[in-house]
Amino acid sequence: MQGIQTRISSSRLLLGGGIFMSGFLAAILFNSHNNFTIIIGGLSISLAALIGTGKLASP
Amino acid sequence: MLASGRGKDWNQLIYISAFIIPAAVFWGVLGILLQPLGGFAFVVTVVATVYAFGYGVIELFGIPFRTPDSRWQVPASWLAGRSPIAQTIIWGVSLGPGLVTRNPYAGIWLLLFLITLSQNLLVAILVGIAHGAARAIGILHNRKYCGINDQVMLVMGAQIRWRFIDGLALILFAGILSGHVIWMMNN
Repeated sequence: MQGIQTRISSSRLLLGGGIFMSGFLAAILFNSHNNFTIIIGGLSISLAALIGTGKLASP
Repeated sequence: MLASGRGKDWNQLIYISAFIIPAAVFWGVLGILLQPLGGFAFVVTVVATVYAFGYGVIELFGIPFRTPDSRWQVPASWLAGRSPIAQTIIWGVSLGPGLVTRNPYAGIWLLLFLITLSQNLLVAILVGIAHGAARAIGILHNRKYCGINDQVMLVMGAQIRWRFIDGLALILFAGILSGHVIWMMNN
């Protein structure tokens, strides 16, 4: 770990864990084939927009 | 530019369209090519889960691990001497789809898994449109930073923040996909 610059802070652990569990529980509780394809489709479009927006930061 | 000022709006609309149209075609073709992999939905979901979790952790915690990335950039020779319209089209075709040129965020490759799992051509096309439009609008918005002394630091700082956000999105997808794996194993 020496020399590796990481920020494994407790706040990021909590945030990441909370988001992971939210997605996991939502998938378990509300899953069906139709629900999954609709949710994945909608979130894919959102992810694509997010990435496209984030790239304005890169040369 | 027309006296009414509408010329600027038309130019921006043309610029954004030059990104959206090739991106929609590119991702639509990808959607068609990836559709047969829908027959291996369980394997695709497991691999996507591992990818999303792994790179989600890397980006969320700022671990210095290079994401899958193309190093190709549009050569200056392609643009030299071309008309503004031709340059716009070249930029749109190169940058709109998002997979050909340099890409700092791991989430872009997760999209391939996701459009495979969605099994919906419209979703694939809309992914392309979303990326192309966001890319073009971002470039138009970012022009105000061109030439300022702190541009490099601004870009680096913004890129770190966006990698963190991309990491959060990947972690969310990892949760959803792992839940879906559990569901698939029981159904």
